[in-house]
Amino acid sequence: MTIRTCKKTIALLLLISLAGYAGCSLERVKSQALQPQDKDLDNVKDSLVFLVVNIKQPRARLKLRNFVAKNLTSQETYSFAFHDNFILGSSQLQHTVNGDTVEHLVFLDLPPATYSISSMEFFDFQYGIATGNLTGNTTTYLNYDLFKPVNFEVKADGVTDLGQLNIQIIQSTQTYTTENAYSGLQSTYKLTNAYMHTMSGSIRRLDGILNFTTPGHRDIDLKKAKGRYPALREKVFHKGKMWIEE
Amino acid sequence: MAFMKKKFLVLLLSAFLVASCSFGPPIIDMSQSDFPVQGANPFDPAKLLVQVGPNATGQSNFESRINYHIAYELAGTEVPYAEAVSRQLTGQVPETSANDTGGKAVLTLTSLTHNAFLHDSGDLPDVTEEIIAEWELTGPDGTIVENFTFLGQETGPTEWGTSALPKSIRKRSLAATTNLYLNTVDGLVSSAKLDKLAGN
Repeated sequence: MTIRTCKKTIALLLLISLAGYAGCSLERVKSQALQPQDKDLDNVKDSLVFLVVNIKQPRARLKLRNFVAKNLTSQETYSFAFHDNFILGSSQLQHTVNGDTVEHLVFLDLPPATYSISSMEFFDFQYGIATGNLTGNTTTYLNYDLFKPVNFEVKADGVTDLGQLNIQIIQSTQTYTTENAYSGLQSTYKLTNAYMHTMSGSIRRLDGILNFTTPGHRDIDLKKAKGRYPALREKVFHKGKMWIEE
Repeated sequence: MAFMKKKFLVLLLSAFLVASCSFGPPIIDMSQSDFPVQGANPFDPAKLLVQVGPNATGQSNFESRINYHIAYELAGTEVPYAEAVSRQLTGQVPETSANDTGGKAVLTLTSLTHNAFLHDSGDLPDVTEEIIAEWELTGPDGTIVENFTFLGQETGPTEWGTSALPKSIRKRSLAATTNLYLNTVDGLVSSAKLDKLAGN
């Protein structure tokens, strides 16, 4: 290796390090969502928050990403990565498929305050679309700018039950092309009326319109949660408020 | 190694769950409940018809990664469950997708979903089984009056052994189904809209 090559290599390494440092300095992750295991639900730092996220379109094997909430008092942001390493279908992120809906019981650990989930100021609110077989990688994200923030309040005492957050793909008509990783063949598909056709390979990025609604609380969700997680049975739940800003 | 062991166990439990579902529908254990109360059918069979819907679906999620996207019939579980509910409510057996409702209000079972969750403790973790039933109430004119969702749950251990394992699963499933049945009857009996349409 020549001296010149060495210099180039060192310069490259320095650049990579600087880039990494810069990336870290932008890190906004303040909290991880809780895994629904008893020990997690018993070791809450601030206040335990419970909500049910329903995603309509289980055929697409959607995966939650970049769920970012801003504390409107402290201005701190909390990025919940409960989804990032746990593709739908993982036993570590329990979910159920009920008819045409994927249902998640989600637990968060947050200081009492009012929060706003908005992709305008922070990250995109994204959904990954898993393709191929069950063990395949998720490589594509359906980006959606959340123009109307979802707000919620966390109470100081007990467990705050925020109720349901329903998310539905209502429109995505973009045609996109996939490439089969093995054969190299390309195929073109069209996502219409929130129906994902059978596909293989990986999809490129595509845009869509998601419809968010906050239909409120259901007693049955609390019963499900308490039945599944013994650590919740003795806890006191309070109904919290979650709403979409107009 | 522990991971492999757990993975094997999950696969085994999954196989047994599927197998236990295909052995036959679990019965409703009436001895465990206050129902049916003799002579107590709170709704008039001349006004109310109970049926299993023509498009009623049964699906199961067991440690979802195993069978995500794989929906299989619950081996007719919905029929004995709907029958137990119908006999308690009206004293009649349920119809299966009646074409002519005879101007009655109709209570239709539309879906039954069976979930099972492993508790992450020990080599043979406890399992929570959860069964969710959805019903639709339509008036004599066919308009939807109310939608109901009922839940049955049971958490219990899984015993090891070729005969003990399926036995413990069936015992737990039976308890969850019975719990669902009780919650369904309780919920329907306390429905003001159903009472107004078909009360005795």
